[in-house]
Amino acid sequence: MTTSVHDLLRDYLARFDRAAAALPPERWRELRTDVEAHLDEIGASVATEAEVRQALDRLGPPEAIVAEEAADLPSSAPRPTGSRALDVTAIVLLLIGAIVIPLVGWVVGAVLLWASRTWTTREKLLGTFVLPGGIVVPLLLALLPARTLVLHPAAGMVLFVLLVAAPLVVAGVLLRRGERRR
Amino acid sequence: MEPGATSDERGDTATLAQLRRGALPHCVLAVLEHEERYAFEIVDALSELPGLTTTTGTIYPLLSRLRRDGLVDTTWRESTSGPPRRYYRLTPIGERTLVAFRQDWRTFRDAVDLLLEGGRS
Repeated sequence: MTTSVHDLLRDYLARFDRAAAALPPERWRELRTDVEAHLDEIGASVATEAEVRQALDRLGPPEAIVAEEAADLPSSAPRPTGSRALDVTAIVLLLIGAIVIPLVGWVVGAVLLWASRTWTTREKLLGTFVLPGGIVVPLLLALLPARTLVLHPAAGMVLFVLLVAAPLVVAGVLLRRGERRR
Repeated sequence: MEPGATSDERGDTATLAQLRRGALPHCVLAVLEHEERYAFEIVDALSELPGLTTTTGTIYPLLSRLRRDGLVDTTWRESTSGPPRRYYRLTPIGERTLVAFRQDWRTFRDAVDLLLEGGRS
């Protein structure tokens, strides 16, 4: 193998590695084994630079190989297959379930949320922790006389608004994302 | 269906690309029907036939998929004439898949041919 033949093959492999950076590591490794073996075969079976270029042309650009592999990857966004009604119920219960049936209402909402296939884990965590109890928490806090919480009334108002807005915003985001995925 | 479909830079219409995607895995199975072959051989054999595939490198992801789906098995063997080679052979499932496709393809091809020819007379 002359140096230029060796260089061509090595450059091809380097191009492949660059193009395959976005693939999951296991797929990249598998494919690289095959591509490397193919390049070795080329190196062992041809002698001139022109022949190598010819063989590499027939192999095609590494980007095309990577694109073909990428087309075989399962799509990364979760695809909802469950009931839309259950999804909406989950969100509603998370928001106001604790008002309807104290604690249990919210818990049922949380269970439905986590059982649903519509959302990613991160989204489910958001729905669970912002806020636990939904808008019950700020409502209860608002019912307490102002003196029990050592808070300036204006600050209290701002806090109340934030505590009501946060779960509402999260609910809206989850619902919209759920719709978009259907 | 795209009326007046334009070809992409490889000369493929979307329809042709789809047809290839459907048929190519079974063509690979057919190449392995009577004997095991190593990857380079398979890729080379398919590239000999015009119209089957434009660049041969894209067959490697296909081979990976066939392995994952259990249609083919592979073994690495030392070779006297160079680097070790990965030999492919059909699994029983691969054989059954090929037989079924052969039947489906003939039925499909005959029907399409009949209609395409009929339209011209």
